Amino acid sequence: MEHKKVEMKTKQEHILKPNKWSRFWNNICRNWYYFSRNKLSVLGLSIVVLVILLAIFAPYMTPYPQHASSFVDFKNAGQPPSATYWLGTDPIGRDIFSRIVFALRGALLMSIVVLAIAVPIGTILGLIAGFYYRTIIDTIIMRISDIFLSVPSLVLALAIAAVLKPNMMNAMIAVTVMWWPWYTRMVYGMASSIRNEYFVVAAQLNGASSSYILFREILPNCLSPVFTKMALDVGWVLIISASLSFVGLGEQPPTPALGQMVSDGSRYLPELWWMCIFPALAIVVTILGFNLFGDGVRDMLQSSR
Amino acid sequence: MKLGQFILRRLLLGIFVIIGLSILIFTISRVIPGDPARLALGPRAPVEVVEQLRQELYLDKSLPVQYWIWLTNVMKGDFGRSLVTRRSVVVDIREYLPATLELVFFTAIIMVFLAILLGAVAARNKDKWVDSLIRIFAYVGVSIPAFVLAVFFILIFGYAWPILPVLGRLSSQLSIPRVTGFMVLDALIAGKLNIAWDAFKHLILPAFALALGPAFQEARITRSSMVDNMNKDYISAERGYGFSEKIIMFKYLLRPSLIPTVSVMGMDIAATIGNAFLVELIFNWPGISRYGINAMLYKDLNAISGTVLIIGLVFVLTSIIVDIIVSFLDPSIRLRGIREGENGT
Repeated sequence: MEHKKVEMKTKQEHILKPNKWSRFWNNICRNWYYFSRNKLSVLGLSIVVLVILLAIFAPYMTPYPQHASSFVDFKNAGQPPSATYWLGTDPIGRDIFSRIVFALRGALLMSIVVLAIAVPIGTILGLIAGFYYRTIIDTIIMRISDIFLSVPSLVLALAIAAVLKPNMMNAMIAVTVMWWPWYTRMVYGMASSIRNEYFVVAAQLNGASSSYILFREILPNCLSPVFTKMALDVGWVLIISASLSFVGLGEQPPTPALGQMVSDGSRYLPELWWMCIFPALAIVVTILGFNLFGDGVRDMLQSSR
Repeated sequence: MKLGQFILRRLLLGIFVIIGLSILIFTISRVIPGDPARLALGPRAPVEVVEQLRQELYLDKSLPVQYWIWLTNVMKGDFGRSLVTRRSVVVDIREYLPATLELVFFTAIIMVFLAILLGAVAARNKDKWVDSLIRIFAYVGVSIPAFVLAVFFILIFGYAWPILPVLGRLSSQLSIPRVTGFMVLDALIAGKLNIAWDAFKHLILPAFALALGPAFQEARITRSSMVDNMNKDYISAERGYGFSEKIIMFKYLLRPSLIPTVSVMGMDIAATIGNAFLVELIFNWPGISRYGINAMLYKDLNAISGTVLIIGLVFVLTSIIVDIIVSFLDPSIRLRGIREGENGT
């Protein structure tokens, strides 16, 4: 069996090798053509790139990186937006722009961690449930995912985050715990229909092991919707994480978080309106960017298929 | 009848889900680090008192036994006592739930109205500026969390242009005897129109904050399914018969086009119950969500499990009702008991 697999692989490589890079480049060009047909997707992509760059290089791109922690400067407290403080300062003199950028950093980190854990778990569970369609394994996995989907995700995440200690780590755990079922359900639907395709049956007849069929035959055919959903989900995770931190269950002060900044700012309305409006706008623009980008990815994968 | 079978199956699944949810909630509330009895009494309580409470709460028994005791109590409608309000959780829920249901109900009405109206307008004016405008609003609507919209509303209607009340359910000088807990309904029962109007005005902003985002998205769905159906043969046939566009639109085109909208709307209304958590907080709305948040911040386990279970119940009931509505719209369910194109994402 081992033997056969190795042989198959070399054969495939032999076919691809001569023009592997040019094929790769062609693929990129073609996908970029499909992606850039919609100007909104390009706008989304630029927002996403900008936000990611800001997040990565936050200490170098913000005017006052030290303001993202417990910093006090009463002389410049409550300044309106100006040339020195682009988006104004809060009642203890911290620059709102710097804090927003650092908050974006935390929010993006959270989205990445949540999706990096939830997506593989959800996908593998969905694969297994779909492969063992209408067996006890299918029933157990799918009914458990039904239970998780039976409460509004925000409520469950709030409940989990609340019984644990309120911090970033536990907020991530809470969101991850309620995120996997969506992927399980989606992959389950695809896997349970792909398992009857001829190429899977052929592999089975050749004596391929279950894990080979699951990961080498079925999984590659489920991946593009999974990636599409991931691109669209970044925005949702951002909403949920902002909501958690709005209630005080995310990142704890003095570390900034977007929801927390909006909730703090709303206490100083209407005098210090910039404290509340700008973090809120940052949330909206970031999520909008990721949603437009996700839509673009979906259209791209659909039309290039 | 096939429809009966369909509803029965949904109900059984709903019951199963609720039982599973109760296990999940129980696990969450018991597996947390720390001793619930110690948590309830605080660090300075003497050991004997803590031990006594542990026995009262059956914390010395094994987990399955604890679950069974908890479940039988819940079945009897006893979630235990809230640590914050010092009252029975059921009494608290009974007091706060109607406010949330009232809000969710109005949100749903706004959603239905906007989704159908805007969707039809966009489909009629396909690729014109109205259509583009609704598309832009839909993009922004998906990207704007309900609580951010609520904060914007407070800023606009609380400070810049104060034409609507932004806090609470009723102006402070008014009061109304509680009959159903639905403020507008109570006022109408008492025959006091001015109070009903006041309560209604308090509803507008929170309900719109919850409804606007999803409504535009649903309008998009209505629009695209109407556009799809517009090119079907039966519509051309009706045009050939000389029916007016209005009759075609509202009598023949709308009903089949609403199936996907209603399915999505059901999920959105259910999600509204979750979003209401934050919006109620912002508008100082005395609903179950605000109660739940307070419970969560004070680690009030009985209240948390009660709230989450009740919300799960409302959620499951909503989805069953939506399925029944969809089955009336979609003959393939009524006749065969299954939905076509299940497993859609």
